Amino acid sequence: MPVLVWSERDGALGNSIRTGRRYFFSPEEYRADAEALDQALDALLDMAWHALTVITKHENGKARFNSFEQVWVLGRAVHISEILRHEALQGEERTLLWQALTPKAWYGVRHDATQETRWRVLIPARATKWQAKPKDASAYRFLEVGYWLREQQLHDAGEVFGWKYSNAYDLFHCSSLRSYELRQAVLYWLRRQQPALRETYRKAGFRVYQQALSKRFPARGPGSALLPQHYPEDELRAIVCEVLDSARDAYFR
Amino acid sequence: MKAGQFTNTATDMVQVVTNIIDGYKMGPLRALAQEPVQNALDARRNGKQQVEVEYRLLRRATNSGAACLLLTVTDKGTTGLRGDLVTAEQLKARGSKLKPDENWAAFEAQGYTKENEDALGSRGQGKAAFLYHSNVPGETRRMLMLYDTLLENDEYRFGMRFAQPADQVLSPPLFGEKATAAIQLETYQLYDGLSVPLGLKPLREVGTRIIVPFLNEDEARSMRPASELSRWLQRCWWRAIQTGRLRVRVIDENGDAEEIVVPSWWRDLPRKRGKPSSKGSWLELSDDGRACIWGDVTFGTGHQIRRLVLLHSDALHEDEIVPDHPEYAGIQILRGSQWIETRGARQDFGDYIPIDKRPGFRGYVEFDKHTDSTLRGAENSQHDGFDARGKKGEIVRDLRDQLDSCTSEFSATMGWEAATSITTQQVSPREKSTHARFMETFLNPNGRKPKPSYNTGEDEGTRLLWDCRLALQYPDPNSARVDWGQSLSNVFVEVGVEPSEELIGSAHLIVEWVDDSGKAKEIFRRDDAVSKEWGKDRAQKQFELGDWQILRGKASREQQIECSEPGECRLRAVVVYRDQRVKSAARKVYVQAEPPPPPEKNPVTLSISAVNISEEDKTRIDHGEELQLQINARNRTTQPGSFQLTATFEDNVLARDEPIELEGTPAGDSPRRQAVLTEQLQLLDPHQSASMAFDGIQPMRMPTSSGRFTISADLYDENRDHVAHARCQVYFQRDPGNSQNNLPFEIEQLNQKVMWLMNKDLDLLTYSADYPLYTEMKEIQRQRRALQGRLAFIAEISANGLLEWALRPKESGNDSNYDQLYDESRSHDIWDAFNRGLENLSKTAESPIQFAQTWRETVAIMLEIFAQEND
Repeated sequence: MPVLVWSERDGALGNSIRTGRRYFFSPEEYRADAEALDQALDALLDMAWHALTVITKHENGKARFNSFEQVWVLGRAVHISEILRHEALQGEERTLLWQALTPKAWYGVRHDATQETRWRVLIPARATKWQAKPKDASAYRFLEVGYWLREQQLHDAGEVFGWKYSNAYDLFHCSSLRSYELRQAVLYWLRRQQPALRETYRKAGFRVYQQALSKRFPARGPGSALLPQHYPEDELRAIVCEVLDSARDAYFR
Repeated sequence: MKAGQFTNTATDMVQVVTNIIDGYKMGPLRALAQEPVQNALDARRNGKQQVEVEYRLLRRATNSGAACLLLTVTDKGTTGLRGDLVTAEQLKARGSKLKPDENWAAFEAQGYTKENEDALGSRGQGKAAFLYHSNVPGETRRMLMLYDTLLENDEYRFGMRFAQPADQVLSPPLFGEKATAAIQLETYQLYDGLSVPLGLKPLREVGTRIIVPFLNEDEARSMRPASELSRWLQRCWWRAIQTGRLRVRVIDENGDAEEIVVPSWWRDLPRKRGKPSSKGSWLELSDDGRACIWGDVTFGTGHQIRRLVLLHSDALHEDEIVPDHPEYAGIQILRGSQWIETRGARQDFGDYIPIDKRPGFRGYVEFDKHTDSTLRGAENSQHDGFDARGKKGEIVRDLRDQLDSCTSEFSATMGWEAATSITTQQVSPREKSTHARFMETFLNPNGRKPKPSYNTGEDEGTRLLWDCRLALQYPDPNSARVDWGQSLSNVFVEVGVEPSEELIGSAHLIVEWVDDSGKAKEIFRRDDAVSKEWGKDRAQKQFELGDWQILRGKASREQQIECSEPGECRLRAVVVYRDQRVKSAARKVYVQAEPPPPPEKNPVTLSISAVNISEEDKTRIDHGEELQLQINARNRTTQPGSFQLTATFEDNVLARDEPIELEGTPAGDSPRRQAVLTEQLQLLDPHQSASMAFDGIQPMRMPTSSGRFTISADLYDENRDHVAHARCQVYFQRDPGNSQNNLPFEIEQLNQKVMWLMNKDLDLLTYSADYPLYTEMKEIQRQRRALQGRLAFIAEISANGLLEWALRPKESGNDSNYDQLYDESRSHDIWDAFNRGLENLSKTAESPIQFAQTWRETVAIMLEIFAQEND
């Protein structure tokens, strides 16, 4: 997967090619493919930026960026742009795309090297690990979470995770609880709760519910074969309501 | 004044105390620093924010004028030793259960449990921590402690425990004025010849005081201010002191006092306002050090670190009391503000922290309440370590992984990576090749390939795939036992080979009897049993051999087997092709002997095999290639059973509560692998078109273009109880690990203490280049033998790693790896011995020693096989 990765050294921007494919002398052999992808990423980032400006709330005329919204917007933009179907990205891991996308947005540089500093707001302020460890897949976890969140509409996803990126991040780490079907079932349960309890859920309760669900759907070991996505919708809803009701009654009543 | 009645118990208390204190790996002073304070904090009085504990040394003189040192440990802000007195008989009648507020009874009893409390803390650690330091004069070791308490209702009590060595408590204790009078006595007479100089003031505040008389001078020295006891107190309790829950003072006989304070590096750490970030927030320290604080970090299955702080400063020096057991240099794990253990900068994080940075590295981690309570389940009874084994230890293993990850991040930001990488050496190509050859010798990935050594003479590039099946009936269908005079009936052999047209000449069938000593005797032979069949892909022949009688004496006719010695024997069918034994099948027969019973643990197991059938030598599966998936079960019980199978491959449900029937295995016979589900799937990239379609093969679109995906299966019995679980990884459009080959695990050098280590995911075997045995072995310049110099070391650890790789998943009933290692068809005697070793290891060993012996024997056999096949 050839990608073009922008970097900054001593104030000057430069780029290099990274690829998972086998090459003869250097990844530069794939530069043409990588540059085509870089151009496509311009459009993706423009789309994401426009979406973010519509979503972001303002206080006293100043935008208040929310990490949850930022990562959702990026994930959704990757999905809608179908960038993963790009020829340069066939048959390889997504992490190289994140390695290209993140510095490109952060340094705000288009394929023709013109500056687009407004893209920087797409990267959550706390996502800084990629700067120290640019090749570490875990440094781009925020994009992986965003891409995962894309499956739900923003408002639905926001409700499920209490508009908190940290909640989404935590749930993403429970591999057995990642399915879209489960998130929809949780949303179904949540919308049947009293407003006060929904507030508790958002603030402190999320982890309690997450623990209850991960006990019911363990990620490994006995009982881990059948995960939420394997159940019919009605059955899953019934299971999720039972699990979350009992967690609620045990901890919050 | 003379003591009241002592009540004897049938316990050698001196031995009990010694045993308990010997369990503290950091010594008796840590126990003394830990237990009294912990008990005081547990007994904090409602409405009191802070508990105070005072360790005070007092010098007294006995009647004979000899010096007597006393240690008193007094707590305030606690409830005191309240609650009813409970005699041993009453305790027994109550099933050794005490109510939560029966502190007095708890302090006097041994071997009880408290309601609403787990078993920790009820094994007498608190009492032992005091008693251990008392050395009552006399010829034998005796221990004594006295205690007085003032309760909220102004009740005063005075009690005593004497280990001489029988365990004695003062019964009944003294109350009210009698108690206060006793405590003030210059000399408290226990009995003729033994008195304790007290002369203490009664307690004025609610709380408890423990008096330990007859301290050794040497021990007393380490209990004075700024001595070892103070250092342990700081290590154990600094966090509780910092949060204001605790105050601890140490005072000597001259009145010089020391207040235990928070260590300077934590004291000076600027308090960050607000919640620390789960990504870590960095701080610059005044002494040029740096710290990083993480908050609310989730790890494992929803556990939470409330705060993790890592710090490094060159201004800090090593400050450890006990060698090899880290205290400050590392990350202290605190449970409920109490230090339990430290993950050491050298021992555990040596890969991330350069040698010169280790003395100045400090850290601590604390948790939310739920996690604290789960961690407590994995804590040892000495509260100085965690057990990372088993289900309870899962949280500890997850925590260690999390700490590793944060330390690695800290190291990277500190710029230490380059420095530490110097200490990591590379595995030499020759060592890698030895490891790979070792794996290839023992693993048979597709379960039916002949080993490289079985050169069958066919044209290069063509492999003949043989199979051989041996069926028979025992006299008792539930047991492999056959007594003299009884017969094995309906002996049946089936031999197959493909591709048939590649066969040159024919193959012979031999049936042999292998006695208890391993000696084989041919009892039947059919030459030219299998030959080429034109126009057919597969040649297959069946042989009905009828009944065979086992005799102790001489055989007088055909179909009789002489077997004069009782024991574990085998009937074996062997296919011989071009003078090579290419395949075999065997059944065990216990002649005049009782076979071992089926194992109690995991009598039913599952295994999953997932093979790329488009390109058979490749583990990786690319877009459009086919996967053959087979789930097998083994029933080791003698009875057939009905089960329900659930199996999934990522989002696809392969089976849900599918009823299956498993045949039983006669006791002593090797359990048969029974296929319960077989699927052929064509795996497709979600972002590529599915243009390739094969008849009868189900296409499956993978969730992503590349990754490691899981096939998972659960088996339930008729009562819906879970009986077995198996999982298997499928590498779609990516190579397993970093390698381009098909090895189940890679080998790497790492700075570690142990000789070898298999990681959690069973895909990496590490060894230490500093391991003495390795360093003492020669590096080979020209290899003449398979086992030579350091390569022998590599072979040995590969053997160990392979056994762990095969056996660890069996703990949850997963035979997937084991099935790749265990192959009955290898008929050479040495392979037989290897198979027996595997079988014995897979049974529940009666003792760890027996298990270790079998393990060593199996490793030795593996090395012999490796040498034979590769020299």
